[in-house]
Amino acid sequence: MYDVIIIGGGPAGITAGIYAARKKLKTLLLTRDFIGQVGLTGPIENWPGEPRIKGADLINQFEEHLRKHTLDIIEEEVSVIEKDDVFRITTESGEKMARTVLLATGRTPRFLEVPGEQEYIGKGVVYCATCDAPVYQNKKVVVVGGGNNGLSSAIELTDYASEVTLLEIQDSCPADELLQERARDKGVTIRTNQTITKISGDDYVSEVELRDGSSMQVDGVFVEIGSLPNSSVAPASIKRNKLNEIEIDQYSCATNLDGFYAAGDVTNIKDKQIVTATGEGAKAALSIYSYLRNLE
Amino acid sequence: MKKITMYTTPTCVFCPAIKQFLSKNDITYTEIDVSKDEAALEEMKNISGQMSVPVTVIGDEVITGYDKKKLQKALDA
Repeated sequence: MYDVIIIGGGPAGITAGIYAARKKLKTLLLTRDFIGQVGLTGPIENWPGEPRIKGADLINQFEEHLRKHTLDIIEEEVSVIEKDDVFRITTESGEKMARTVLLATGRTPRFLEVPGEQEYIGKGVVYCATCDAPVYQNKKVVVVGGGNNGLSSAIELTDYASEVTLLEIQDSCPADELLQERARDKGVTIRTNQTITKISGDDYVSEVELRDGSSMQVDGVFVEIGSLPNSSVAPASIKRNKLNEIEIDQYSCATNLDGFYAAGDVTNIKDKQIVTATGEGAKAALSIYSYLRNLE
Repeated sequence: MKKITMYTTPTCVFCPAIKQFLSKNDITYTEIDVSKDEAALEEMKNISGQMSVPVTVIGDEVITGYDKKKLQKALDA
């Protein structure tokens, strides 16, 4: 029986793991992998102490730091979470039991949901610009989404692609001004009030249709239109908001189910940042520690 | 011993995870960086039908992306 089972190997889950281990809680961390949203991110410039670090390197550092502490780590996906007198968590290797649970499963990139998208995944439709940008050497590409991730991807792509166009559905990009300026300097064409309505091609993507009815010849479509919370594994009784984010008490990260906590991007916190997720993970672990002590 | 080839890019985030997985199992493999080698990129596309890394070839099995279960199955087959 564990004191706490943490589900998720991103900034919130890892920080919670470190804090829980330091409080000597009997801790198990379950995660599909240690990649997540951070691993898929290009250069990160707002993590204090590291003026510029690749997402994959940062999450590796987090994982190494976690593994220096005493806790169990199993790289498996969770299929069911149930509660009777204790929490029972099912993974492929069986059932694990705990007095408390912390859900820190983060978010998954959103699909465009246009014809051709599913068919051409890996054949021109890309969700990890960092991974595949070098494959698009001298190709024409389009990035969909004018947030920070979209702009960062577009900037990264200018090192390889011959032509980079960025489409933003609203009349201005929500990304940081600094990134927009850098993208323009690097030759990215930014088109606002615009998005893709259809993706087509032969073996690979060759054309996209835009919402104004025009079309573009492109080899790659990089989708960066935000993400959805990975909250479906939480028990049905857990309160979620309209966006399917887990509703937490902002002071303690507790949910409406006694002993069940949530932290980071899967929750209804306002800002989804690495630095905020780590803070939330610490907060949740310390709240769980107090909760368990009060039970004794 | 099956021949194992991995097609990668220097920025691929799933590639280190696969390499770690293979190393843990004491398995040797050949890595091909497709960002520097156009012929290799074409080869990867022909084998996998994909324009996305990682592509791992274990014997006759072609595995795209990071899928531990598929990797293990191909190794055990």
